[in-house]
Amino acid sequence: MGQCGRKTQYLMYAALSCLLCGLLLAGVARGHFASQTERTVTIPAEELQPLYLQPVNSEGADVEATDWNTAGDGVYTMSFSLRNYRGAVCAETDMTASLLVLASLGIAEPENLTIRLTVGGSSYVGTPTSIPGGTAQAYSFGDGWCYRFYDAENREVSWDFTAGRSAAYRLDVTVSTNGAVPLTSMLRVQTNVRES
Amino acid sequence: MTGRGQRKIAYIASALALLVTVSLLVSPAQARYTKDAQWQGAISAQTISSRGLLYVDCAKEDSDVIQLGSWRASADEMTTVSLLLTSPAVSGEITPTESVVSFTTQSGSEQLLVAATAVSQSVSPGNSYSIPISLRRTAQAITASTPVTVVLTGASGGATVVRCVCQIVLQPTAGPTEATQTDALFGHCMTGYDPTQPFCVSYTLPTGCISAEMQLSGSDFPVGTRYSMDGGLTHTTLGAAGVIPLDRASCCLLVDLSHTALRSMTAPLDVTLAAATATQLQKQTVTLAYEKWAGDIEPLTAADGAITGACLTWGGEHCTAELAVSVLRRSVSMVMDEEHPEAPPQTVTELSYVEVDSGLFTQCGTTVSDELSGVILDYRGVETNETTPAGSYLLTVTWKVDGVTVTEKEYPFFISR
Repeated sequence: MGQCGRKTQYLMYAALSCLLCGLLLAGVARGHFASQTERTVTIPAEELQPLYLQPVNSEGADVEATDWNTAGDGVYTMSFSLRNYRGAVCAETDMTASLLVLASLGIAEPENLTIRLTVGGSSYVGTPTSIPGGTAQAYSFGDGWCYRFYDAENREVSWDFTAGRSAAYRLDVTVSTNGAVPLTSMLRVQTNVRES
Repeated sequence: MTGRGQRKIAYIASALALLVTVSLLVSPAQARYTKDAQWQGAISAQTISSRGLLYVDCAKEDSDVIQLGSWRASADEMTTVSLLLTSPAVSGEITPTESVVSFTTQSGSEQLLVAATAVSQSVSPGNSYSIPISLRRTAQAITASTPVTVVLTGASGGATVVRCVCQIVLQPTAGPTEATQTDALFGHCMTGYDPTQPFCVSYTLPTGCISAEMQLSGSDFPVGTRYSMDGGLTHTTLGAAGVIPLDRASCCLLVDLSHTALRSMTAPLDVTLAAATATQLQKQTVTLAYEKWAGDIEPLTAADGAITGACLTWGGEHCTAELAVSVLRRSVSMVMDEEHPEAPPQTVTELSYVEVDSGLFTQCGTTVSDELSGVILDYRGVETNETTPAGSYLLTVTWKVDGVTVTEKEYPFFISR
């Protein structure tokens, strides 16, 4: 092909590009004007939490819970739905989540609390260990104790899910204070997530 | 540049773009699942309450003086008063004992015999009992306000377990005439009151004053009124309705009506000071408006648990708030059994609040004056990006008037991330 033919070819490419851009712009403009009749919805800019603990009531409906429910003298309960967000932009990796409960220093002795986790008809009593200094838990929560839950074979109770796919587990946490908690105490229910 | 060179640059740019794209795609997936889901809430082992400084603890020996009321009895006249006793931790029989008191009048020293008789009363911890006491004195009429004391003792199992000192004020039967010109008797006083909390009035008696008393609405304070004239170090309870005798020339009088029938009153409070000299009687009144005490409002808390402030909406002018923050610490020690040294040592755990470095909080250890409301405590990390260690903290707010502690309030709070 000669020099003149190549120039003609470039001009044709440029014309096609301009036509394509014009079509796209016109489409956007049409779409824009068409959308003016629809209601505008504001989406709050919140950080996506793919895995989260949602407090629920006894029927499983979501509730706004900021405090423990009192279920008798020194007994507190809270039910959660451990949910995984569907469609999160992430690799579909097999994950495992376990539950732990952190208790602040106000309980004095870990034996002063009996923390029971009920899930799927099975019940587990938390095993306490002291929060070691210098760890991430000590940085975020301070001094206290960490309760973990183990089954009869001494394996930590955990739940499998796949990142990016929906999943939900119902967890019921009951705290009995044994009548020996000397000071107001903070309890944190927390998941520990790792790749399977 | 040659065509080969241009292609090389294009390949390198494409590879870099691909690498950046893959990194951006992989990073969010890695980052998202390192964040744990969590929920937290506090459990309260005990009711948080304000700690007044006037609460009588009759079980503490020599700690209380109980005002039975003004007694204007003449010689050989008998009177009966009711004494309200609270036993917080003691069981047993309370039996009044006689007391012979020496005192001095303007005419010289003389003896006054006070014969106190009452039936024994069985008490149990946590309950209050009204005990009638009969008193008889043998003396000439007196011309000045004179205190005498009666001692009550309680026994349980043969040992003395309770000892109360009751103070009685004998007052002259005729007072001086009321003055038309008066000096300023009141100093700094709170402008508001809440009957569930103590209030404070400051006064100075005139020169030559021979007797003075504080009245409520020109009359008696109700039974159960507690007061202190030494900043709360010692306190006195009115076992019968009466005025408050003022035996100090100048002080900040602390009055607590929270254990009286007026604890739900919301009407303005008229506090009258009556001071008598040899020739005249001066009276002045201050009015305290009802203001609901908002000191029990929880501290304002940010989403990250940081304390951002608490409101002062009580006390009015001259009321100050002192702030102190302490952190909860746990200590474990081993204790040997001295009687059985071969036994393994016992582990003893103690929880205690330790005062924190004032640098952790911007206004820790400072005083807020004459503010009706406002932020009194900031989390330092908000401004300096330094972090306060996570843990259990206690904020103590002490309200004062003229340096006298009116009441204290404690707020446990937690810092977590």
